[in-house]
Amino acid sequence: MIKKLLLTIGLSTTLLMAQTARDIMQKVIDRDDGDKIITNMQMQLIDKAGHKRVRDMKTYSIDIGKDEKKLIFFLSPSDVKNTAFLTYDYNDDEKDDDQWLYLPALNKTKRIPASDKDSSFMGSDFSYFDMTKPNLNDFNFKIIKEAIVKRKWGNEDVWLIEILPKTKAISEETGYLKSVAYVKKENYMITRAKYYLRKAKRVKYMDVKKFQKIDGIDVATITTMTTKKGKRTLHKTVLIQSDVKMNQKSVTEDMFTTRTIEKGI
Amino acid sequence: MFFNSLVKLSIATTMALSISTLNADEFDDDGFGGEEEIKIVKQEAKKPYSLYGNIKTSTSYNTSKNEGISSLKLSTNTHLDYDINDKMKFKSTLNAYIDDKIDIKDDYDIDLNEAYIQMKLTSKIDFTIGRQIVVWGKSDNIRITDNLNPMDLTTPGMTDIKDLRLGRFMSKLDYATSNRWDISTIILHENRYSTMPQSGSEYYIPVQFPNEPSNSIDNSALAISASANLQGSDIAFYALNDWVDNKTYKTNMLGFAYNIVKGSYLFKTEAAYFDNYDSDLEDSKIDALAGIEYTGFTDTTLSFELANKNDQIQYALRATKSYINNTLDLTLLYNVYGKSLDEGGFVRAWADYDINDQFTSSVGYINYLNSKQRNYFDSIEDKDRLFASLAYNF
Repeated sequence: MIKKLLLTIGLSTTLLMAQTARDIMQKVIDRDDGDKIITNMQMQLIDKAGHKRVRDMKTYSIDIGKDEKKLIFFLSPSDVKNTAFLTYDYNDDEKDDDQWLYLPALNKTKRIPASDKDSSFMGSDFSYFDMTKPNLNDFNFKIIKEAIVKRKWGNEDVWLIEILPKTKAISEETGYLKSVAYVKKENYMITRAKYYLRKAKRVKYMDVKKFQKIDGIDVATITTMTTKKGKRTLHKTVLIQSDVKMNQKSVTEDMFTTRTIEKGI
Repeated sequence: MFFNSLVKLSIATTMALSISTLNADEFDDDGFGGEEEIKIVKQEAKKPYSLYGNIKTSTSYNTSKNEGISSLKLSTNTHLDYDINDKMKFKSTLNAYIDDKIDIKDDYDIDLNEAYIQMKLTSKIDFTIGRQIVVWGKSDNIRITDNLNPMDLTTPGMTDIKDLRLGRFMSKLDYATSNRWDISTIILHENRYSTMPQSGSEYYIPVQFPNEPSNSIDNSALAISASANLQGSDIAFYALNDWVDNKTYKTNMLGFAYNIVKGSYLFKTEAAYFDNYDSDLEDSKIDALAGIEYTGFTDTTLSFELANKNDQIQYALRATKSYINNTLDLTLLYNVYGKSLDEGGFVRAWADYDINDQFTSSVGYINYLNSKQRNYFDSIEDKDRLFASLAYNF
């Protein structure tokens, strides 16, 4: 009888904790991350020998209700210049995101299946999945523990939340066996994350190196993503956002079309 | 009552966890590394103009005849873009090459392949005038509706995709409707045919092609398209009145293209009706294509296209896999004609490697497949070759 009661309490506690983790992740998703944004973005791709490749981009984004539309224009280097990417990130779980890629070498816009989420985004350590908002219904969440991340600007109180794909198909689609998000209690931003890849026991470490408050909204302006196998670094990407402008009147919904990625702004 | 107990238990558990972890910092040596100094790599300030492109040296070696190096080429693909103002842009592409090995009259070429002005007349209307490339259709390997620009066919299966389409002087008016449709009306002022292998080229066949019609107003071609990007699918309709490539008469084309995404699959279809297409054989024809693209494997794209074009079955299978953070791409393209795969074609396998942001290299092999039908591919079946290139991007 006591054993049964303990089991019931244990299961119920786990359930309650799971709901709490899910609530936290919902708040991460729902957090105000700005609207009508224009950003200069630089991606530094660093291989294991330390050789660096640099990609400069200009991005535009707009919220349409709970959906988000995003434009990314590649400015350099010359072999990817004018390549552009358009995404409609739907909040509705039933809808697959729409993605198109304009390839100037082909003078052509190609639709990209949105389920191609585990592939590298333009050679970086970020995958297409990392660049979009996840569908929370695809995952189970659990608070592992609470902790402090020591930063040079001060300590960050965080929840460590384990994120497990609900099915093997979702795991295969995202490329992750599981991940652990370090969510700041202060503002529900993910400050660090560990992604356990299906591929060859690799782990990716996402780390926000700099936050900035812009128009009252916290923005991760420097983020690194490092792919490791054991303790060995295989590749690293540094993503730097600069000149972030929010609530720009020039950003309108009719910009977010394939016509814009083909002709530029 | 039971719920209250659970909440208390939960709070107690959380507090216990907090006490146990707040004293420990396990993260500094947990794969994230320490605090490092990260600097933005400074880029040049934005200028109204930009000059970019590549200078490439390429070579090929005929392995069938063992006659040594058959091409040693220096080429450039140079772009000059100029933002005249917020609503007007000038864009141009210059292609040029000199080939030390080919024994033809013109062993060099300079071609201003694109030079056009793009104007934003209103928020919904654009006008583009000049020599430009306009791509129709959804297929990647076999052209069904993509008939506005001729092709560089001087080295079949070998021409870099950037240099494959030849620009034509056009006036293009685009109108974007408020419900996702783009309508384009195009007048093609310049009549330009696909370039064929010249006398002296390894690929030359002694066929006399007609001269292009003059670029008079009477000889202008007309094209109209309507396309839309919908949720999960794209659709386009096309109408064209244009000269048949390398013939002396015009055709009317009506076509459509459609693709739909389902999970990791992209299904593509295209069809086009042409009247008065080939006066020697029949008055009209219908070309059609069905294709599928699969992107379910990491950093891999597989595509297959099957078409009935010019009353001939054509298959194209392409597989591309990226390695080392997209610095190395391996591609296999199998392009073959005939219902029983016996009417010729080619298999090409190559590797593209980005040495760094400035230098890219490529190496590969092309094998031409002969035909039981005694067609063009029989005359080039001994042109199999190894090829390599090194490009400096600026």
